[in-house]
Amino acid sequence: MNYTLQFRDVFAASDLLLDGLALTLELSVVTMLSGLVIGITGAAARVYGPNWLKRPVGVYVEVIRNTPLIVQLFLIFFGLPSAGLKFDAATAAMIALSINLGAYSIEILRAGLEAIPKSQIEAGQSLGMTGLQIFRYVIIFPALKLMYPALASQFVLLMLATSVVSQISAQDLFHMASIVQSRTFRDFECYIVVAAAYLALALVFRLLFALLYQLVFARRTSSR
Amino acid sequence: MSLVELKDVVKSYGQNQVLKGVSLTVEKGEIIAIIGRSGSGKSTMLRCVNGLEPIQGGSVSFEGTKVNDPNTDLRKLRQHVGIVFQSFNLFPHLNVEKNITLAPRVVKGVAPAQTRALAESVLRKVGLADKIDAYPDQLSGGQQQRVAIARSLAMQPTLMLFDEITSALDPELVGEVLKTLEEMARDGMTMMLVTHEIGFARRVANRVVFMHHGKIWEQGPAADTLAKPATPELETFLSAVLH
Repeated sequence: MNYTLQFRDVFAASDLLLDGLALTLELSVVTMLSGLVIGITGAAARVYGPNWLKRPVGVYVEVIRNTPLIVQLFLIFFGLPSAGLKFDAATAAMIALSINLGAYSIEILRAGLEAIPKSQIEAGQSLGMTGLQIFRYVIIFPALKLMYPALASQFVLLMLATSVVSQISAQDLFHMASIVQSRTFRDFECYIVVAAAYLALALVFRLLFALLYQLVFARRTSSR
Repeated sequence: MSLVELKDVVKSYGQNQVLKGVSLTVEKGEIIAIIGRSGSGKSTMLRCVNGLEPIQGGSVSFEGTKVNDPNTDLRKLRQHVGIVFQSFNLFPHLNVEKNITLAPRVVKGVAPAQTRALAESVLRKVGLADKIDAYPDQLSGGQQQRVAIARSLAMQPTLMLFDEITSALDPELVGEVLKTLEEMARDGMTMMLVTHEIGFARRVANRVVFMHHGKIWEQGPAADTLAKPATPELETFLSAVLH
C-alpha cells in the first residue's frame, strides 16, 4: 500500500462541507429540543395519562423503536406526498428525526418517572397541589436528573444518525461530503475529514451536556 | 359539629378488609393517639381522613365536608389538613426553604416576597431556623422530619395527621421530633397521631384509640386507658410494646 493522502482538494471545498455541517448542527439542535418536548409530554401521558391516551403513545413508541430510521424518513419524504403532504428535504428530515428521537426519549423518561417514589406524589397531593403542579414542581426535575446520562447519550446518537438524511438529498454534512468526493475523487481524504468532523461534533455535544448537567442538576444535591 | 367524623368506615384492598366499620369523632383542639399492632389499620384510618385512601363504605367528614364524596374538592380540603409521613417525603431537589414555600406559593398564591419570612417563622417553630438553605440530604433524619412538619405548618392547617413519624428515626433522634409535637400541642393544634411511643401518648394525648383487627377495639382518656386497659387485647399489646 503506497497511497499518499492529499487533503488539498478536499480542503479547497471546505465551504461546501461547512454548509453541510451547518445543516447537521441545525437538524441536531432542533431535533433535540423537539425530542425533549415530545419525550416529556409523551412520558407523562404514558405514565399518568388516561388509558385512551396511554395506549396510542405506547404504540407510537414501539412502532418507531422497532423500525429503521431510514424507512421512517422515506415514509415521510416519499410516502406522505401521495397523501397530499409535501415537505422539502430539510423539513422532512427534521420531522422524521423528531418523531424518532421523541419515541426514544419517551421510553427513557418513562423509566425516570416510574422511578420517582409514589410517596413524592402523595406529599404533593397532601399539600393541595394539582396533578400538573406535582408533575412540574415535584416529579419532572428528579426524573430528568435521573435519566440525564441516558438521554444525553441518546441525543448524541441522534446527531450521528442525522447522516441518513443525505438519502433524501437534504444537504447535511454527509451529503456534502458525497458531492466533494465526486468532484475531487479523493474518497479516502474526504471521508477522513467527515469522520473527524462528526467526531468533533459528538465530543462538543458531550462536553456541552456535561456542562449543562453541572449547571442545572449537580448543584442540587439529591436525597438518599 | 365535630372537626372529624368517621362513620362505619370500611376499607378493603381486594379481598382483604383493612377497616371493618370504624367510627370516630375528633373535636377541635383534641390530641388523639392511635395505637395498635402493625396491620391493625391505624395508618389506613389516618390516611382516610384526608382522602389519600378511597373507602368502600361508611363516610368520612372534615368540618362537615364529606371527604369521600366525589364532588368534594379534595385539594381544597387538604389545604386544611396537614399530614406528616413516616419517610418524611421531602422534595430532594429543593432546599428547605423551597420545600416549605412551594405549596403556599403555587397552591395558596402567597406572594414571593413573603415566602422567605413564612419559611423562617415555621422553621423557628421546629427549631431549625438555621437550616433554611440546606438541602434535605444534608440533614439528619430528625431534622428532615421537623422540616416536613414545618412544611405542613406553612399551610396553616386546622388539623395535623402524623403517620408513625418517629418510626424511621434512629432512637437518639426521636426525642427532638416528639419535642416539636409537644410544642404544637401546647399551641392548641388538633392532632391525630399514629404512634408506637406509648409514653409520649400518655403524656401528650387527650385520648388514646386502640385499633385491633381493623376496628377500634378500645378508646378513652389517655392516662386511664393506658393504665387500666379494659380489654385483654390492649393489655397484651401494652405489655408487648412496653418491654
